Amino acid sequence: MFIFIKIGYKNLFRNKRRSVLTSIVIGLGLASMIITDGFMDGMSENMVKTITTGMVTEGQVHNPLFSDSFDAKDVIMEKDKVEKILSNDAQVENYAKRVISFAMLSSARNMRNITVYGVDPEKEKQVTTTYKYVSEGKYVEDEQSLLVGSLLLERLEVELGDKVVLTVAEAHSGELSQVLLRISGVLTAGSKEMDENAAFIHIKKAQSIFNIGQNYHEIAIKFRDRSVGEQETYPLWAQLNHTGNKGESWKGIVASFTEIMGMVDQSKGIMAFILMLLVGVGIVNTLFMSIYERMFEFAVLRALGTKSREIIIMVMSEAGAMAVMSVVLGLIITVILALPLGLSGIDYGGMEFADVTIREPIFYEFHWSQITSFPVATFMFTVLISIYPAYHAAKVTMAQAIKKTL
Amino acid sequence: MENNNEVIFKLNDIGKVFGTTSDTQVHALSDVQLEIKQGEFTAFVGPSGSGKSTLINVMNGFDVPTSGHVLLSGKKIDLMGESELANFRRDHIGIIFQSYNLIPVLTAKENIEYVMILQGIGEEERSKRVKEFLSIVGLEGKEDRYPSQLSGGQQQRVAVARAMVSRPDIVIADEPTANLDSKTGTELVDMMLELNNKYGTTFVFSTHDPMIMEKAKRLVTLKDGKVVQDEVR
Ligand SMILES: Nc1ncnc2c1ncn2[C@@H]1O[C@H](COP(=O)(O)OP(=O)(O)OP(=O)(O)O)[C@@H](O)[C@H]1O
Ligand SMILES: [Mg+2]
Repeated sequence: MFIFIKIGYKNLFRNKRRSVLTSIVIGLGLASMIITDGFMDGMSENMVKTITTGMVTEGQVHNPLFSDSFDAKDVIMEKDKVEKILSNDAQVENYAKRVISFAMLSSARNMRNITVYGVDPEKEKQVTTTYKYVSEGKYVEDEQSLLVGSLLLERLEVELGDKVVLTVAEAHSGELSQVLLRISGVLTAGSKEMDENAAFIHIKKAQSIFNIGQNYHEIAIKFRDRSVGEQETYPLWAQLNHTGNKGESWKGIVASFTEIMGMVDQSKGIMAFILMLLVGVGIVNTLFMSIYERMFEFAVLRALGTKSREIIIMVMSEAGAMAVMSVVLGLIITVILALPLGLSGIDYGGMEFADVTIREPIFYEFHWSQITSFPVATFMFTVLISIYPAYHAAKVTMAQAIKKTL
Repeated sequence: MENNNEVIFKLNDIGKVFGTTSDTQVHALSDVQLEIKQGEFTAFVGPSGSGKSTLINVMNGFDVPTSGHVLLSGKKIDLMGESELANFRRDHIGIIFQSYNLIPVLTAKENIEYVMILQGIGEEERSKRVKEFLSIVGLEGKEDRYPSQLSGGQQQRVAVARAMVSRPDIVIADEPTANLDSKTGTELVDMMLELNNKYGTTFVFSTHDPMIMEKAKRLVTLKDGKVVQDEVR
């Protein structure tokens, strides 16, 4: 057995240039799969982070009516029970209550329809990083605070410190309620949605202007481990739903994004398939070229008593040696191409994809599978596909082969 | 002289027809009756196209006769399956081609060893025999050379060593000297003859070279696929 493997791998080096070129092609295929995987995952991780550290957070609870109506009277039901469930859940690191509704913000020159968020600043800082995107002034601090988006500021033609009027409809009576507030902070989150349409005030202020007592509309959750909350079967969700509210992870909340990411995964698979196909054709082609040149040699081997099966082992060993060389080259190519970009990250500077703003540079996301199962798959694929040319070599017609070359 | 030794090869009414339709058919061999006995040194001669190669291919099992049977040590090799034939060939026939006999990626020593590895002979015995045969064919000290580092004549000597090392019943060669100059060719056949005399190895080979025919102990002449003369000298 060893002698066939030995002849096989030695044959690989008979036409060094051809073998190296083919290995580079296979290696490039492997490298592009690894790099695509790393950056696609990096991108999706980046976007998921943007989502889960933004206002969406890792999970939310609402009154089911609220999600459709956005009506200030549809507050969370049995809030004490809900809070108790959340406090008792070991995986919930923190949660923050929010009052959310439509409102109108007007300056002396202009007015805009906006979404107003009543937040508990200390709690909010535990579940989102929105406070980090305050570009001027301060985040919400007390009942006098008003944080507005930077684009909203432009539309209203006002500046930090100017006075504006917030008009809302009271939750049950529908009567208009107005407060005069001074702009105490400006938010530049990088997403149009937030920067143009959102304003933040203290939750107590919001509860009072909407006249909803101690009630609120949303609970934003941060888990100790994000992936736990992502499981639909995680018992917390059932417990929350049992109170008549609807609790779900970010995946359910931004379902369209989740769907798009699923498609991205699919296209990753399709790309890998096409790459493999191209690489496969390259391998078969190279092996056939080298086999056709050597039909006489296979005839000699057969004449000496070598069996078909043993010739197949020989050719597959040659392919295997080529695969090993390809994998090594592929990993080197990967490091050369991916390492600099992976360390610095690819900066898309605020580009939006699937309604999510890519705020941070995209970093390479490493998985062990990239240097274990990807190379193993490449190796197996190369060796498997070589069965076809190997079989051809083993089938050599003796009388013909020895005549052709002489 | 009469050779009373054991019959190694027995060719019974061998016919070989190439082509399927009547106008393209070639009768490369017809009614060939031949026995090769232990210890013979036989040359197949005859004009080009007379069927020498075809006959040798049939004896090697490279080709199957259209009619008749080839018996090697009493076994019909034309009826053997692929794997059985491979083993039978490995153990009973030493084959030498006209050229490119050696596996280019193996050294002279490894080329000679190859058949013994297939036979499952242990390393020690292999080394011993490689040494012995390299000296028999006059190539001591060249065992680590690759075929590309050997001359054509030296390559053919390695091929002879490889053909003999597995101790086959017979060594068969189709024009082993065709790619060598006359002097080197004659030297190769002299060496084969010496081996035949010394060890009793049976040789069958084909040739065009009158000088080499001279050396054969038995001359089988073919013409149009028929044995027209069979002369033991
Ligand atoms: N594969 C084949 N298909 C058709 N005809 C063939 C084939 N092989 C050989 N022949 C024919 O069979 C006949 C015998 O050929 P063979 O090669 O045995 O001759 P030879 O005696 O070895 O000649 P040479 O001295 O030139 O080598 C020739 O007429 C040849 O054309
Ligand atoms: Mg011939």
